[in-house]
Amino acid sequence: MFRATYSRRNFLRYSALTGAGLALAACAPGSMPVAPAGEATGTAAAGSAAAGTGYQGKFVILSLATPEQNGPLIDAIQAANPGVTVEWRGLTSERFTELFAASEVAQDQIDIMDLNGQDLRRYAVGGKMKDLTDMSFVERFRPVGVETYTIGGKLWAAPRGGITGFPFLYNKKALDTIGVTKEPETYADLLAMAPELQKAGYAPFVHAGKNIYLWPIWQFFAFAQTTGNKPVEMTYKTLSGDMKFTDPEHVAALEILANYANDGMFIEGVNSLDSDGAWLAFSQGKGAFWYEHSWRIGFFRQGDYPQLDLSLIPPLRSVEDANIVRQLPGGTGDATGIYANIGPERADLAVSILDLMTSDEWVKWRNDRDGDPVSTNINVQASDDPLAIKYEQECAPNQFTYLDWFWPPEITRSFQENQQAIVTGDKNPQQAAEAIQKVMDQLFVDGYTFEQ
Amino acid sequence: MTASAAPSERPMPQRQMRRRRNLAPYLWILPSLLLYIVFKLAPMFAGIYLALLKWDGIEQPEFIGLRNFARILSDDVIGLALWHNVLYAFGTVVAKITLALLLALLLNQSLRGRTFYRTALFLPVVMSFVVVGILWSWLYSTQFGLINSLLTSLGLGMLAHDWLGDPATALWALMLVDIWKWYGFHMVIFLAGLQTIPVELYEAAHIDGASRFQQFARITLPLLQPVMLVNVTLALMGAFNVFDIPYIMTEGGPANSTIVMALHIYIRGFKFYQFGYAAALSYVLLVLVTLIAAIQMKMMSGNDAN
Repeated sequence: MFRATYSRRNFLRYSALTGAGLALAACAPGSMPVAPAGEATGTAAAGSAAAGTGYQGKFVILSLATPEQNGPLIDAIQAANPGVTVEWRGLTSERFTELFAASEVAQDQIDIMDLNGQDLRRYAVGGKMKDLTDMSFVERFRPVGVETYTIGGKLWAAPRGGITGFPFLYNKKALDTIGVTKEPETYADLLAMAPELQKAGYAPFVHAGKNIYLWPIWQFFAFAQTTGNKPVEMTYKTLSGDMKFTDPEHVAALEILANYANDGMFIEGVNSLDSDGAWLAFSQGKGAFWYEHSWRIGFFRQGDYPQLDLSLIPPLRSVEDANIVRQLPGGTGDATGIYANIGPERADLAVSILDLMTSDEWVKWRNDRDGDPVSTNINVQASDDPLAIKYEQECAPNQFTYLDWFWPPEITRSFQENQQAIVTGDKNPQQAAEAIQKVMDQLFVDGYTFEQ
Repeated sequence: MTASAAPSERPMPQRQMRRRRNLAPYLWILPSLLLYIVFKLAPMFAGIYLALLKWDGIEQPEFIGLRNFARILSDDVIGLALWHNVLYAFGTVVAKITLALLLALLLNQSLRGRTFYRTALFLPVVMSFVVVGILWSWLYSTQFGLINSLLTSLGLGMLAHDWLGDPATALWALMLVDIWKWYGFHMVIFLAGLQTIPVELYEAAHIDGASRFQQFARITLPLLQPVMLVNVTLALMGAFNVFDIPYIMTEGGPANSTIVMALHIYIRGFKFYQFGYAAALSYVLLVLVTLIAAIQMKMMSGNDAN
């Protein structure tokens, strides 16, 4: 019998049913992430695909950078591929995984993935990237970039942009003030000049300690020295469980940071100084050295800083062995690759577009835009700035991949927290190492495995 | 009436009219209800499902039952984060409520420029968290900060300190920012409450010889009790959900000295990509905040009964 009125009870019942239906629809297997690439991870089409692959329509690039930053490149891709409309989605580094997952769940079109090099490992191991091992234009890249983006013996992305890293920046005016004409090479040299620097009003070292992601770089360069210049190999061993963070090499590297803190090398308030504050302090002549990214070279050239005469050196040697090379950590540009589940009708086009994006012409454009000191492409001179050339000659040859590109994020965070605790004096290096190893042990319990 | 009269001109049957009348309110609220279901209820239920998964956003999700909830017991940071939330709640609620009440009492008087003061004191409430965070980070800066400069210029240089960089003071420094940001909000609620108290009560008390303090203690405070509880409830819930200020100003550091639950959840979810575990933690926080709210509600209903 038809009911003439809807009681509240019935209304709520129907609403609940509707809600449950919607919730079920949202949770339905079809809306979950698609299966890992598996079969789809066949090698990319060999050969540099030419324009005119036949596909016409939308082509989606997920990138760290915004479309506004890449306007000319987008125009060039569209001009080379008539009928193709590039949809460049700028996802920030912070939100990349979250928005990528949302795109996958929604089964959005994804073609090229322009990743932070740090994240490639997760996407490659997770089956989201197409194998590019047979890419025909691999010869155009500097080997360090190709090595960095090779995981498990396969190449998963093309290095695109600049080879950059963390040298020790210093203010020549500070050294001139105290009469030092020779660049320091060891920590002992710095220790010797520190009292004079302080007397002249310079803190020996500026560091943006509030940005906790900047603390692990101290471990990277120090670990390179305490392992006899085998930081990556030893990191592999540690993450595979053949070595522990409490082993002497790791603890000794943490001790190097402790020495900087205990010897009063850091500027006052280092843990609350952010990058802008650190730059202000450094550029206004409040600090003599700064462990900072090489992009500051370009930044420095764009401004007028009367108190600063910028130069750079590789990190100081902080171990006794004089044969140890002063290596520095760095990256090799964006990791630009092809989405594993790309539609087959766009697979050739993706290779063609990847070819264009990593061509010498467009990498040079990118280097100029970002002020990179060294290019990922062999035949590209990124910059003729004397500091960039100094970086290319004295630093880049001894560069190794940031170790947190291998570390699981839990370990990175643990280093950040425990290094801050060392600097504040709340923990000693041994205690910090034990805390980090505890996190690693828990990861193993949770099933963590490392793939080289 | 002729046979050619259109059916639409016939009066609607009473039953049909009643049905339409009864249905109308539901139709009016239906769009909002659907939005509520889609954007609130459905994600909440989906979140429960997420809490039962091991998923990093990239690899296939794996159903692991209640393991995410069990894992909470062995999470070293949770105890610390909760303790910081408790400290935060204690410090900010007491200070905000006291300050807000005092200012509300003051601005409830007939003062010259009263509207200006009310607006000025309310201003931090409408400021963006990012602006507030950056502003106060610079105020606290050891190198360039106004606070240390002011202390030094007043001859109190010995009190100058690395407020955000010292684990002993960082959390308290954040609390001060929270108090500054929100006291205006609570002040306005108190002001609204004060304006509902009949003036006659004060006049009668005055005639009876009651002092200003007695009037405050015997009239104002009791009649402000419901407003007070609303304010305390909101402040407490805010303190347990605090995220923005620690995230912007310290990222939980130095050495985890300002880590709070919401930030811990964020780190687990969006830094460690442990979406399932972060969802489980969120439900624990939800239960906690609900419990606190329930206690407050109970107190409120008790006072209403009185």
